[in-house]
Amino acid sequence: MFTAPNRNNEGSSVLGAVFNLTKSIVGAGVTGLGGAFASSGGLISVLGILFFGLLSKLSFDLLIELSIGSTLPHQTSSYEALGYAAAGATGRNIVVICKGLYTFGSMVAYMVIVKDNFASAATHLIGRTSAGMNGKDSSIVQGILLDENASTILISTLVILPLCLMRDLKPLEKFSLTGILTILSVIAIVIYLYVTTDSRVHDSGYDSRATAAYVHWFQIRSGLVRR
Amino acid sequence: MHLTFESLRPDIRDLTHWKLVSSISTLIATAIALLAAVFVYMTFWLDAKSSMFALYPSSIAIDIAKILLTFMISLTYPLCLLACREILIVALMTTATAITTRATYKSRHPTIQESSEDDETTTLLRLESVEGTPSTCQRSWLLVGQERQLTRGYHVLITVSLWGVTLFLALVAPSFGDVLNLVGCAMGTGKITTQRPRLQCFASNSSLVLTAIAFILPAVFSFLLLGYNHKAAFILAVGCPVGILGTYFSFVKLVTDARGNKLSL
Repeated sequence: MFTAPNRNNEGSSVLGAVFNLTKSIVGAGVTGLGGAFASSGGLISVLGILFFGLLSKLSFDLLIELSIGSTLPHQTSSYEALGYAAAGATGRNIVVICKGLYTFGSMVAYMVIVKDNFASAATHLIGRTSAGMNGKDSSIVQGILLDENASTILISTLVILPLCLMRDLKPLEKFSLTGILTILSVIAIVIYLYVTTDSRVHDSGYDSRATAAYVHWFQIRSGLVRR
Repeated sequence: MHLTFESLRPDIRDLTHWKLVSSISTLIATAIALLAAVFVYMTFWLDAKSSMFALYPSSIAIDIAKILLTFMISLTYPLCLLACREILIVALMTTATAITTRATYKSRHPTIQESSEDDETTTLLRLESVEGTPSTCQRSWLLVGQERQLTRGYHVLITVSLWGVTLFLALVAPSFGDVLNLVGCAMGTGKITTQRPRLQCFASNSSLVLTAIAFILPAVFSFLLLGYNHKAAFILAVGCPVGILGTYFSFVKLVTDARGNKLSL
């Protein structure tokens, strides 16, 4: 979704496009799905993810199929062009508004994630290695990192803003695979913690294993739906 | 989707290869989502929450995971900003063109009445045949030969403005729920890793905006372009109610929690 447009005869292979599209689909939100499982139920959540994955794939294919079949001069130029072909200026404007709101909301949410996670992690890591620093240096650095707002401003100014000032995404295309490997690394850490954490602490109070299995996997909970 | 499709080499830029790309990508993304969800769930069972990193005791592994997540977001945020910037540029250019073309047309043809069904594009097309094209004004803002690239000054201004506004909104997190209400955007198909319940409430499992982009609009456009077809009907019939209901119940939860926990607004 966010790959730079190809304006010449060069282009990605199928594998390159797979990495780009996968990176576009997978976001930081996958780390919060465990809570959704707890709210809704194990098996029903698994089936839900599978179902909506399939539905999304059908939708992706439908969009491209419509764009290829459209009679616009730039057939596959954009979602906005497709909206214009289907419903004129109204269709284009609706697409523009939805995309604008979604991307803006995503940007705010990403900043919140940086704020919630970077400061605490950096503080802990700096604290663990502060034996190599003298007391004054470590306290200044920790002082900055302890403040969520200061550390967020720091990393967004030094790292994020320079990347944002680029005019196109070609330099970032190379990082699609890096992004996927990063999220896989996070998942590997989650799996490692599963193996090393005693989950029986959170798995008590059931009469039998059968009851526990039912509650964990087969029970469908109301979640956000009020009875 | 379109940008990824256009990124394919010309010899493989067709529907068959696209379906292969989308199938593999969706499969990998689904597998990643399931892996993350299932192992967190199996660690904490019913105690699992959306703020995954808050569940685990502090350790080097968790700190590394948080840093990796921050690194990934540092690479993803610019992509979102670029998309948002392009949308803003298109919207601003279209609006500016419409205003200037109408003004120019009326000044040159004061006796001709515009059709009540005239839209911006029709006006633009009409004026393309008129001496002194309507794009003179916008050309001073755009790079030569580019439709979506502003000159350096405007490029920096719009980029820094977008970045600054989103940073500000993230920093004033106690009002985040209201901000998202105002912009009308509940976050996507997952939940944000945050320790703030108010953000949890709002970061629902479905989003009206995302549902519109992913399911409603493709189905509606398909109906308009191709007429009724089963695939589009299925996408609309399933995606639309889930998106609307999910957003509704998430909003109800947000309001309930706001009243119950006395969230600052």
